[in-house]
Amino acid sequence: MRVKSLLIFAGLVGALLVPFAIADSFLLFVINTLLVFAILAVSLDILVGYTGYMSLAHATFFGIGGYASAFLVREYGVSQSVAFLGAILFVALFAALVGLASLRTSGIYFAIVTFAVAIIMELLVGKLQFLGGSTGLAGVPLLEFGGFLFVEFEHYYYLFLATLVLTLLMKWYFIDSKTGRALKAIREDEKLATSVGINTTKYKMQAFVFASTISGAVGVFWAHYQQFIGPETGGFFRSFMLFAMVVIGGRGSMAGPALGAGLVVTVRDFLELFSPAVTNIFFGVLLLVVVIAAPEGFYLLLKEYCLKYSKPVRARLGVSE
Amino acid sequence: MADVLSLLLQQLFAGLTISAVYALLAVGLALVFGIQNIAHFAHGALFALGAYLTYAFVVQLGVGYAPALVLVMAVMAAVGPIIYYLGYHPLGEAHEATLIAALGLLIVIENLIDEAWGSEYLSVPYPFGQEYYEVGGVSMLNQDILTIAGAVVCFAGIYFVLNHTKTGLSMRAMAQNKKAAEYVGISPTRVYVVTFALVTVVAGVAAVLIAPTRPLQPAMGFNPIVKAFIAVVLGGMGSLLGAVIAAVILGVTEAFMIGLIAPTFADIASFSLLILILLVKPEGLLGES
Repeated sequence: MRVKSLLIFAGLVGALLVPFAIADSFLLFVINTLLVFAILAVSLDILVGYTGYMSLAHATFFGIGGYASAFLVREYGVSQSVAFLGAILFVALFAALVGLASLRTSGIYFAIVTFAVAIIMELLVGKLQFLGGSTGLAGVPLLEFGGFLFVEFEHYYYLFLATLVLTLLMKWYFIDSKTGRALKAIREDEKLATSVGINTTKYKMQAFVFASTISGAVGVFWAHYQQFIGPETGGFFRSFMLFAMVVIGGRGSMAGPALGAGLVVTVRDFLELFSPAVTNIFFGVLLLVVVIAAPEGFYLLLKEYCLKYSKPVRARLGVSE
Repeated sequence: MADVLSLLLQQLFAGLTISAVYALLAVGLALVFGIQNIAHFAHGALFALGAYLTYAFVVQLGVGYAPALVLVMAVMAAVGPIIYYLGYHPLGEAHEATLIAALGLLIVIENLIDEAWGSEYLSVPYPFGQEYYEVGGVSMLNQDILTIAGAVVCFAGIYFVLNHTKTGLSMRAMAQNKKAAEYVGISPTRVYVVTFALVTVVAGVAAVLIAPTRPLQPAMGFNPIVKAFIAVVLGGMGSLLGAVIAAVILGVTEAFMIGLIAPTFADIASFSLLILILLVKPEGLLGES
């Protein structure tokens, strides 16, 4: 049996048992945060790692999803299931618009356009009074689906875990599909891809809307989980952090971005004991180190390390991969 | 009627002052981008550093304003190449990696400033007091006049270096065709170091000029560098004149938005303008694609 599948299975079982093993609710809170950012990073990687388009606006859709649902539920008393669908639809539409506009550019220009979109949206949302202005919307009700009210950290843990697994599965399927192969072709050489007849616009749009909608959906969960949403929730800094997570963890891989998210969230929560400035310095340096010494990200580094040191063991077991 | 005219002229003057800073930063960005293909976002943090160094020299060490200017320029001339060596040089030719590195450097420098000087607002006193001159119904602050004049001097200096010195020639050669420049014996590293020294010094001058007029905080470079970037893209990546013209357009528009139309949406308008331009003419006003 393949070692990798065994590990994944063990990981899943372990993940299901986590809330029983952990009594400290603060730790569960951190893990929940970790899971959410992992979902965001994994979805962003579809754009950054597989298509080669560096989006600096991923958190924007996260915020829009959250705001849409929070607003609908809080102001109009819409049922949460309907609000969820409405929010997702809204995010998808907005993503389509942004995609249509921005995907005409590429490389650094694309990064700049998404950066501008991120800043504009963050500023705009902060000025619109009906969205709470710069103080945001508080008193957002807890998540509730089909009568079940999500109250405890454990409830959200399973929700986020399920979403992460679902996202990974979708990504896995997506990558091996025709779309996925087209995206990889685009990443390697877009002009060449177009010249062999690949409809790059169609596939780029698909990837962009898909990734952004996932971000928006998680945004809905987050808004109700935190019971609050503000302009920084979907702001540029968060988009940048997500991008950093993908780069540090390892873009263009399944688990890399999640690893990056894990690293960043844990380190940040640990370092915040010192001072926010030190935390940021550490990240800036980490980003530089990764981009200079390990451009493939820590995941690949870790994978190589594991492969290298498990060689004797594997040989003895007669296992290949 | 004269009132309306003087109101417009007043905003124009305010716009020119804002533009002076954006233009100085934009020229630096355009040079680095044109010669090395690096989106040097960290430039904004170096601008902030210049302002804080001004504070350090003038307020903390009691040095005069003019000597402080010279000292800041000297420090910046050293800091620029150091930043290049630490952050961009190890990357070689990888271009998208430089964007990540630039952002990483920006964060590191901004937060080092925060650690060194704290995050509360600091202020640098006006070197010549706050005196206003009335000309044709327009009231002009002496520091603002100094800023605009200083910017013009810097542009003249850059023009001179680029067009009348051998180093400037090397820089232009590198911008045109890196390989060809190498073939004729121009050392890329040397050109890069000089470029970084030059642009960082210019950012330092801009910082010294503008420092008395605004409160200092560690992230003060972020907004200006974004605007400067907009100017560079609008003007055509790598075109210096385009960057300056675009910076002026941007600054004046901003002043009009703030003073007359809708201050809350001034920033949003600037960024929207950027998106619009990029979509319609990605090469910018004066750029070639």
